[in-house]
Amino acid sequence: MRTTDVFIIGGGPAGMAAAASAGASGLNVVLAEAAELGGRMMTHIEGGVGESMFGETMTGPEFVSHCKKMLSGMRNVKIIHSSVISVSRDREIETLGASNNVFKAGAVIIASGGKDRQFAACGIRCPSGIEGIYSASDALAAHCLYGRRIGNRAVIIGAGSDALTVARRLALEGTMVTGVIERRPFLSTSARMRQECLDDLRIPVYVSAEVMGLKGDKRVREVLVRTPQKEFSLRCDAVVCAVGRVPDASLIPYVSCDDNGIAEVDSHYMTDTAGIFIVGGALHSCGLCDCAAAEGGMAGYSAAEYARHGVISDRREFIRKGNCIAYVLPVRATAGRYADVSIRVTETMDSGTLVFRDGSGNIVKQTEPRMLNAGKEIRLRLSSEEIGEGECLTVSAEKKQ
Amino acid sequence: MSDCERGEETMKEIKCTACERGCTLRADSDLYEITISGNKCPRGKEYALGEYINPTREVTFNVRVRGGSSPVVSAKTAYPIAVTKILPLSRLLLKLSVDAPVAEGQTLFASLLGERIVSTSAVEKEAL
Repeated sequence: MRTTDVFIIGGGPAGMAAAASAGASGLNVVLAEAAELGGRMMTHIEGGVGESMFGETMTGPEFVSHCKKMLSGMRNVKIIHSSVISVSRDREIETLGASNNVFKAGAVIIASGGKDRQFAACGIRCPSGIEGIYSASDALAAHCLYGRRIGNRAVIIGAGSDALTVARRLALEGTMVTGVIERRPFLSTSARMRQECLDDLRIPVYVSAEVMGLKGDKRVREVLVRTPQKEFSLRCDAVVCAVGRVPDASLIPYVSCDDNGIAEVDSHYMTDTAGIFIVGGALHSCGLCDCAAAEGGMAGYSAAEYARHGVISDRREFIRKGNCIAYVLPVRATAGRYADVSIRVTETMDSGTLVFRDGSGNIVKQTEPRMLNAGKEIRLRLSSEEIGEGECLTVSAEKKQ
Repeated sequence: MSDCERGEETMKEIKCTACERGCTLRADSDLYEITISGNKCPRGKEYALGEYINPTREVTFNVRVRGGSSPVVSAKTAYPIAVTKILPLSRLLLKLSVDAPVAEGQTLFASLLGERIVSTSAVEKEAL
């Protein structure tokens, strides 16, 4: 058995940031990545990432190369190319390998990313075994890693940031995008994404549109769409299903998760199993690379603390979800410190506020009225005064006229 | 009748992308002046002017590589380019390729439709 202080699983933005901040403590760090370092960033060739870590924006591959340079300068950070099979409660990590493949770590950080929500989860009828259906990640990997196109005419289901990124990539690289289909009456992305990914490239988008089914014999040939006004079909030979990402805590099935599959963490991203941390896409659908990297950085620092001292100062439950809240994380925080919380609402409100109440119903904090989008996480910082001592806050979303 | 006198040709609705708020801006122009309305902040005005006169974007591509460890290299335009150039440029790039090795930040094409294309990652020569 080999020993290390901090063991990180996954070499995407969260894992690399965790390795950098844990490595800065001088402890021994091992980062396990099954493929190449970079994770999803290698297929995010567009710009706009890295501001929080390097103070300037860059493209995904440039971000990865910056991170690699930073890590290669740290002699106490070791990168191994191996898959992790299991992580036990007492932090024994089994990796794929012929011999000497079990590690014992002082702290473990799970940064292995989320999964694409599967096509089957949308409840769309389609002939079984039909070809030509891709997830957003697969479509991007085909273009950015393998230099292949997925088809000549594609339909994209979903209109989140991932879906729009795929639409733009396909349109720029020779695949005609015949339509982007969104179930909700609006797009859950920024005006900028819509302008740059769809309008500039003249890609049609259908909102309040439902996919009624797919047609085709061997390969998909048509997508049947219904909007409140009409029913029509879109010709295609490829369908990209980009309906969001789901968290993946399957490596640590023993930690407590909420009904969305999101692990219950504290403000250091430690789970309820001591010494096991989880960040980035594996924890929640965090969207931005910079968000994943920030979480990784925080967890890396705290994991090093834990590995050194065996404890992190007391944490207690400080927030619960109230009306119209799908989830809130973290749920535990250290007294006397601020906490960055991520919140998702269950229904979209044109104008709504997030209200934080203490145990006796007094309003502690209230956000400015604005559009609350169920398709996007809202992040904000609660100060130590707002968190208070002892009492647990309840957050709810309320409509405002 | 000139474009200006025709009225509707000189009005443009612009969705502001300068921040999350997403104001709907309106640019009106006559022969002498462009007027922006609907903006809630100065950034909106600046954005609308740029968008009205010459909208530009930063665009990224995958460029084919011959004899490399990876079949493509990621690339970007050295400067933001005119929106009208995006699709013609992307069509042109589909037909072109570069030889491995490619270094990060290397100029792949000095002038395609007047734009410089720079790599954003490195590709080594394929091991034989």
